[in-house]
Amino acid sequence: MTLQHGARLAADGRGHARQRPWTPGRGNALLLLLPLALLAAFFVLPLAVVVAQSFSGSATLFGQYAAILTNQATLAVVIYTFWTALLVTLATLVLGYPVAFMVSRASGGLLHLCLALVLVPFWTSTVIRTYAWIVILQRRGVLNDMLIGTGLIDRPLKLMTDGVGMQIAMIHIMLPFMILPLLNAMRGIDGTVLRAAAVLGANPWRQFVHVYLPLSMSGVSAGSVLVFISSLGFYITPALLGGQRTMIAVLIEQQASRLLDWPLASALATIVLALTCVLFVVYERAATRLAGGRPSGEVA
Amino acid sequence: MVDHIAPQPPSARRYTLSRRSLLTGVAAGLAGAAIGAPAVLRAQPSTMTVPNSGGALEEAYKPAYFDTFKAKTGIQILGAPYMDAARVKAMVENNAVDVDVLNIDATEAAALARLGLLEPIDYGVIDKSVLLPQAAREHYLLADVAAYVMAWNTRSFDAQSRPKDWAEFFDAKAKPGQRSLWKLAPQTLEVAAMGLGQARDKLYPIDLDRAFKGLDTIKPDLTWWTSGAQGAQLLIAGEVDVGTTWNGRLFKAKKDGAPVDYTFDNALYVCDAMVIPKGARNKKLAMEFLANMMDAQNQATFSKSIPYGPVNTKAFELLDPAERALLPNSPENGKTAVFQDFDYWAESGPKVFDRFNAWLLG
Repeated sequence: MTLQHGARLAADGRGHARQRPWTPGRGNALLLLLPLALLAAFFVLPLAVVVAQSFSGSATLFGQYAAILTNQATLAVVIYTFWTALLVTLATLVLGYPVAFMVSRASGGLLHLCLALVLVPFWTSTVIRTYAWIVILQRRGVLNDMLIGTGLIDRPLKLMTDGVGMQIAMIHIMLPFMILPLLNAMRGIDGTVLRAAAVLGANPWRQFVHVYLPLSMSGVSAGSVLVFISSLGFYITPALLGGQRTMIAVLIEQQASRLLDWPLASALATIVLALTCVLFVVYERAATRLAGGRPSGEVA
Repeated sequence: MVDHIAPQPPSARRYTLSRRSLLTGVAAGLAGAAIGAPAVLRAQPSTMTVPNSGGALEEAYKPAYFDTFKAKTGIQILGAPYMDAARVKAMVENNAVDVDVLNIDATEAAALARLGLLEPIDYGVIDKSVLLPQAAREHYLLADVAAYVMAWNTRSFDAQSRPKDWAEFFDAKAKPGQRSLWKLAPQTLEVAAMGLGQARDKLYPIDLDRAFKGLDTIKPDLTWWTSGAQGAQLLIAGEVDVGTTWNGRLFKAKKDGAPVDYTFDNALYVCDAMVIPKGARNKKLAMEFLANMMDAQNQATFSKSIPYGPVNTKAFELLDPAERALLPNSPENGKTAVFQDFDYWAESGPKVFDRFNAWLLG
């Protein structure tokens, strides 16, 4: 979002530059030089090395990729990772949408309280929150003790061994990443539009489906992409709470630092990178179309 | 990887400091009197950096190895954060070797040796005859002996009722209870193979079919751990009844009265190693540092402050029975233990990791 904003400023800057040699707009464009140089040196270049490395260490150019695609276990990890990311995205959307709606309507002290409730977990370390979930979900943890105590179950649920615990923790950790973009979009929705719809005879359901939901879609798509892409690369939570299951970041760590097979690790990383890029492009297209041809992030 | 905790009484820090300041004084005197001028002529560095796992391990290294080396040579040793094999590989391959010697997990050392990224150890400088035969390798030197051990919560089991060996550990009918294992192929597959009857003196190559069958049998009662702290916590909290951990992880908890106990019976020795990356500038000094590290007295000093055993066999004579009782490879504790084969993992790691990952998903 910041990048796009910056890019837009840069474009504005060029527009002005044609007319006058110096404007504050052009100054803004110059401000981008340092961050861009830093990004190129410390992000783009190393990433390019990783991608280049994925084509080495094998007899054929795509040897590492062939090895990954023909390895059932690795392929299963890739699929499981995407499935988990999708599940976490849908769950955070379903849970976060009503929360964002309530908060967007709140004001004064209530608004600040609600924001604090969203932001305090957001600022807490992922490692700490993961350990907290271990305490809650483990075999003799708070949740199982409670369920057994109330007689709902008679033997502890195995939330820690089948990946469910990991998914619960990831949903919790990613929730603010969904709520904040949703909130941003919802606070930009003009309440009078809904009243207009009501005046024209739409019942609350129709108001929501035909007016409110489309207007909040920029937040839905921004939040979903943010959550989905972040979930793909999760490391700590799957490592500690994954139980029997493995996510791709854990696999990459094994290849890179235990087995020292950097070409294979690079190929795995490149697959995640490429799929992320594809998703981002799809999102940009969809968001632009939804916003009526304007770039995303520009609603209201 | 063996990771280290801080099994250290609060008083130890003060002790170390006073000892160090004393040694610093001695070293300054020695440096001035004996080797001051020649050191300048040989362009000897005034400090050397030795990356290591930090924490309790570095605290144990300081009086045993760093201060004694300074007393001998005048060179100040500085600790630095752990460099894993990936970092060493990057450093050597990019011709950017800026450390001369470092502490690293032995399986990582073996992997680096296999890729030709390490200097050979000079056994002209280091006396091989007093070392454990497993310790003196061509490209790396084992520095201490820790152990992957069977441990249990004392509310569930006691020393008599616990699974008496790995066979009973992998038999949930004989000893009902929740189990825990490290979620990684190395160490875990070794104990699984022993659990299904592979003889410990013929442990390598690991009979993988047997090992995975062992894991299959306890799968419903199995909790995985991924970090040393987590593995210990599972046992301390009673989340599992019996499981594996590294002895250093439970040593302090047990001493402080946590309801846990462990045994060195049938333990798997896992070690720290010392390596010299290829292209190290002060190779000769690094060898001298290692020679000092292998000294019996220094090894004994080390094992007094952390429950990892020495690799110099003479060091045990310098330790009293109470100290020896805490060490995995003391003559009393080491009767049924077996060394991990680090070179096996360097060689077969990729294949076995793959199969382990596939099993996890199955």
